[in-house]
Amino acid sequence: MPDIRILPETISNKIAAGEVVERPVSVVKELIENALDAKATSLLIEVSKGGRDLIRVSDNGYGMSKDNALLSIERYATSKIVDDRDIFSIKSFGFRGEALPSIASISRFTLVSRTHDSGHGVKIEIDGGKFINVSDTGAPAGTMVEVKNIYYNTPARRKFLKSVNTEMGHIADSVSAFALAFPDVTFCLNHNGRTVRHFTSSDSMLSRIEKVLGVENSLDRNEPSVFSNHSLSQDSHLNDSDFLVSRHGTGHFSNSERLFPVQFQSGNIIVTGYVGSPFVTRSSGARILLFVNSRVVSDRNIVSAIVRGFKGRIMKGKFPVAAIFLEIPCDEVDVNVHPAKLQVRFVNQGNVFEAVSTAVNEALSRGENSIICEKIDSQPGYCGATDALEVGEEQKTIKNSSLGTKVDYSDLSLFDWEKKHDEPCLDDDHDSGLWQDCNVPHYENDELNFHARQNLSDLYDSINAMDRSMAVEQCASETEQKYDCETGEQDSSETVEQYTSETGDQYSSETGKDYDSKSGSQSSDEPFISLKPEGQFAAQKSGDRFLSKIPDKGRDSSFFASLNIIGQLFGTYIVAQFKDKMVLIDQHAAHERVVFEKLKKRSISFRPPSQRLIVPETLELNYRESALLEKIMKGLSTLGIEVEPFGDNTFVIKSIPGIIDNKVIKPLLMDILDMLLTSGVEDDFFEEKNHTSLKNSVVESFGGRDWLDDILILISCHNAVRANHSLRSEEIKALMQELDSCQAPFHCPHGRPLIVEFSRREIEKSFKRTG
Amino acid sequence: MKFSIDRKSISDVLSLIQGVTNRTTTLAITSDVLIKAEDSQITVTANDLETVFQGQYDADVESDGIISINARKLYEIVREYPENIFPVNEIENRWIEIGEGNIQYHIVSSDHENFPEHPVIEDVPFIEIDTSLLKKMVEISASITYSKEEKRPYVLGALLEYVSDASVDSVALEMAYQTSSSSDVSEKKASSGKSSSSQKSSSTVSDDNPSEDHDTENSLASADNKDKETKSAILRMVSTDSKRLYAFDIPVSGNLEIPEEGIIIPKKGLSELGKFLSTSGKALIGVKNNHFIVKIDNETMMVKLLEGEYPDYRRVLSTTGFTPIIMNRIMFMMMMKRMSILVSDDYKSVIFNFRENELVVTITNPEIGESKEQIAVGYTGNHIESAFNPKYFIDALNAVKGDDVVVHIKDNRNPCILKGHDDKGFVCAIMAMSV
Repeated sequence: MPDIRILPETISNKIAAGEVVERPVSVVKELIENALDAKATSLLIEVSKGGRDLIRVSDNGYGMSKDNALLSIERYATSKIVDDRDIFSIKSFGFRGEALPSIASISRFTLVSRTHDSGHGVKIEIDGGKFINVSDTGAPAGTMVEVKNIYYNTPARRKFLKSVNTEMGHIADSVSAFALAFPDVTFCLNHNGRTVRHFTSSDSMLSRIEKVLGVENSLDRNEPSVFSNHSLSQDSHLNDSDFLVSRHGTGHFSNSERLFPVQFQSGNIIVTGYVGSPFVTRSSGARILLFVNSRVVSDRNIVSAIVRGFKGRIMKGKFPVAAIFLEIPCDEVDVNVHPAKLQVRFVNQGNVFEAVSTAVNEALSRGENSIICEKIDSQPGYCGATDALEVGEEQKTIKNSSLGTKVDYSDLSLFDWEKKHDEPCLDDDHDSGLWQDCNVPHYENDELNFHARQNLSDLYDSINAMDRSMAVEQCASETEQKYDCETGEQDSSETVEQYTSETGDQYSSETGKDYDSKSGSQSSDEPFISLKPEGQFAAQKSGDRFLSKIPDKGRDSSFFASLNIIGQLFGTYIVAQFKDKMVLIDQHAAHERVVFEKLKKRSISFRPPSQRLIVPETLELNYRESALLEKIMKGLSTLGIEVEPFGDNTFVIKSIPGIIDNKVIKPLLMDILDMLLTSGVEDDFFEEKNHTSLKNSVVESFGGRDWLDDILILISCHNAVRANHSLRSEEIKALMQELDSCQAPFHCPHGRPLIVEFSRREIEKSFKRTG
Repeated sequence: MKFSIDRKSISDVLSLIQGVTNRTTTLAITSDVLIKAEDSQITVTANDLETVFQGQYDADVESDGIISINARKLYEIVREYPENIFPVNEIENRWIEIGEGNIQYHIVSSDHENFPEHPVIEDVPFIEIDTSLLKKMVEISASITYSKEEKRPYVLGALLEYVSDASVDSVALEMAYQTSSSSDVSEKKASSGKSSSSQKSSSTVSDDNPSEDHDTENSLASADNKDKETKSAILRMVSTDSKRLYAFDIPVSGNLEIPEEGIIIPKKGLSELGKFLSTSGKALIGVKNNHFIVKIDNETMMVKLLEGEYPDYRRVLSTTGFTPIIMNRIMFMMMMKRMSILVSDDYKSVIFNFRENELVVTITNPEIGESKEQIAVGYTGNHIESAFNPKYFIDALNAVKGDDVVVHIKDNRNPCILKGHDDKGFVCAIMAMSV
């Protein structure tokens, strides 16, 4: 046996490079992260030949002194952590001290850096890990790293490089993702001297997301499409090479109804971002961008949580587009899992899953409600915008009068975040400005176009309604919370009530006692780990606080009822006119949705009767499965499945839900277990509270109820009116009214759309009336 | 091959086998019927690989031969054929000519070589059994159905247990005696122990119970005597879907060579068998080579047995510690029918409240509404509240004979055991639901 030796540093760096620098985009990622950790506000990324020839990242960050610069290229040298405690609460991107030496070991590497207070910069040249030269040089403040001829000395790795377009696609995606996470930072990506991505710091969050997700209006930008069905084919061309298409400057606003803002908090998990309309789907999750504490990650569980949030709105096997930001205390997430830190691990996987899927689901419901809330006879003109203005002012007044100086929105990290991210729809301080800046002038320009005006006002309404409802809730919850904490402030609650009565009764149910009781019950049955009174989350005092809820009660829903029904087509589709659009509604799908929601509501309201079995079914499980089953037994029994342990890893099923008493129970239970196992909640144990069983809500949200939904879908399918069945106008009207009261009225329970539209322009185009 | 046959007789047999041949299958030839003409007889065979029917019929055979022809189409032709004599003639290339003169069909037939071979089973140790009883047993057992995806053998099939002659195996008979002809024996023991109290407490029960026990004793005793004379025992069929369980007993004579733990006969085959059996006469039954065989005159039906274990059902039928309540069968059934009006797919439980001398039955369906009925019953004891699916009661009450039934109840976890008051051959257990 040969002797064991310690490897020379050049070799160990190359080995590390194998992990860290998987492909050119890894270099870009590491360098951008370094720049961001150095608090740069403007980044220029220059790439040639997909990164094979050159990657150069220049920033305007702190810069490094000569000594620091020399140290930085040493292995395990970092400024980002100091002692071992820091590893468990990492706030910076990097911390391992591996990136620069690794990159330097496999390329011709040049680093130029100057601190702001230094007169001259330092330049370090390294060639394939060999130190070549260090010299003083003139340079702008900040750091520039140049990586040439990547993998020139590792031919094996070079062979794995894909085409220029593919590599560049990855780089463009990576830069775009950073641009979303850091909306204040200017990013400019040049490829072979051409600008392919440019995000200025003045871009709004929304416009950046639009650019990155590629969610653009399909046919006509002037016509906000409520449920555009055309987008499927239009958007699906996006692929790795689409970086060549510059998306810069498409700052139209009408995407708002295609991107629904997500705003949710559960315990110390904050979920924000945007999800695309369910009508925009992809066949892979590639357009789902995930950020955990501003770090781009890929996490299958969160993706599936998002998909679950879309359940009933998209078809199986389809993925939505989304940009989701998770804020979670640093000590509840482990980023030190993956060398490139693409994966993270959560202490409480289940809570994260639940928070994300609930957040997405609520965002969709809210978005759809806002469409429903549109009135067909909405007044034309500025009313939408002025409403928004008024509301904005009113809210400020309330804030001042009721909460005084004690509550400042900026106290709360969430609102901090919003400000930081300049998210117009969510920040009520901003929204009046937004509408003035953006919409109103636009509207005036289009004044001659009647249709455009109509559409615009619709859109105002829809967004305002959405906006308003959220704002009111936020305001109410803030007030309420404060009121709870600091008793004696009678004024505040009164003001809230007064305010809500002014804004119309549709939101009244969200405030006051109602909200109180809801949030109360919410917090009682969800034993989230209590907040750590440290860091950025210190400002939050109460455990659970929903920033936004679905305004499901008393909502002024008249979208479907307000459709001008023209008739029935093929005995199958309802033809209607909505403003200047022709709308087709699949009567079977529509009725299916109505029946399904009724059944579902019912199934939640009472515990399903369960049928005891003469011959209990035995289940032989492996260790993991049985440990999990033990934990969910209680939750299952509330769904009508009674399971008892039968020694070792064997269990017996004693009774089954009455609704499926002619189904075979074993595969169904195994499905539930599998779903829970893959979602990773099995490790969520609340030992400090001696919880030996998983929360019911977790069991349910992870598919414990899926079988029930499937059954209900089947029943509703059988009970719904069929195609080729003529309906009387009264029947159609009744159906439309019932649709209005549905939670997800635009999709049948299987996720297929139940409504499609054809714009007047499209029709006129077909008749060659317009170009 | 050429023959002609009385239309009525071929029509009857083709009608009978439609259940065997109409199964959706990937083996197309199982939808055919095989007809073999030989010695002024034709042999008709249908085989779906699980159930085999075979019958011999007199016919006017001009030339011998075998054909395999689609059973459904042949039956439809026979049904609509106007003449009393039905001529069949194989012409060439497996074309079958049906009819004569003005009405003629040419039907494509399959290669009879491909027709699945059925097991040739000889020297079956047959025993004779009353056809109408067998029919009832088979039909009741087949009435408990299952879903398409069902895989459990004890749901797919019914158990046939044969309890041999008392002189040979008295223990087995004792068991059969206890469990089948009701647990009256155990009840009798129990009630005799506390007869004074039960007589005082409830007039109905105490009046009826001893007489019931007495009757049972008599009937069983007489049966016993008869059994001993003819060397007979009890043949039992047990059928369940895990939510309810039927046990149906027939006294038989002779010895069936079946394993002690019984055999499992698929319910699909049983329902075909039910059609096959008439309401009068005698049938021969036997078990051999993994088949259950029923032979009546010139016709035979063979059902391939299911592999698997049958769970111990006797525990479920035990009524030790249960309270018997006598109820009028029709009245009880009408009540259950009225209750089941409010049953829906996701809500099908009726709550039974047994209180001193009364039974209150309620159903509350959150979507439709509620219903309540109250009847006087001879019940004494603690208040019992238990929920059941009324459909199962309706089925069981239809299956049982006689004016009165005895309902045995214990608590909200144990099943309800239903027996005929006079009909001792049938016991039903219905599992409780929890709401």
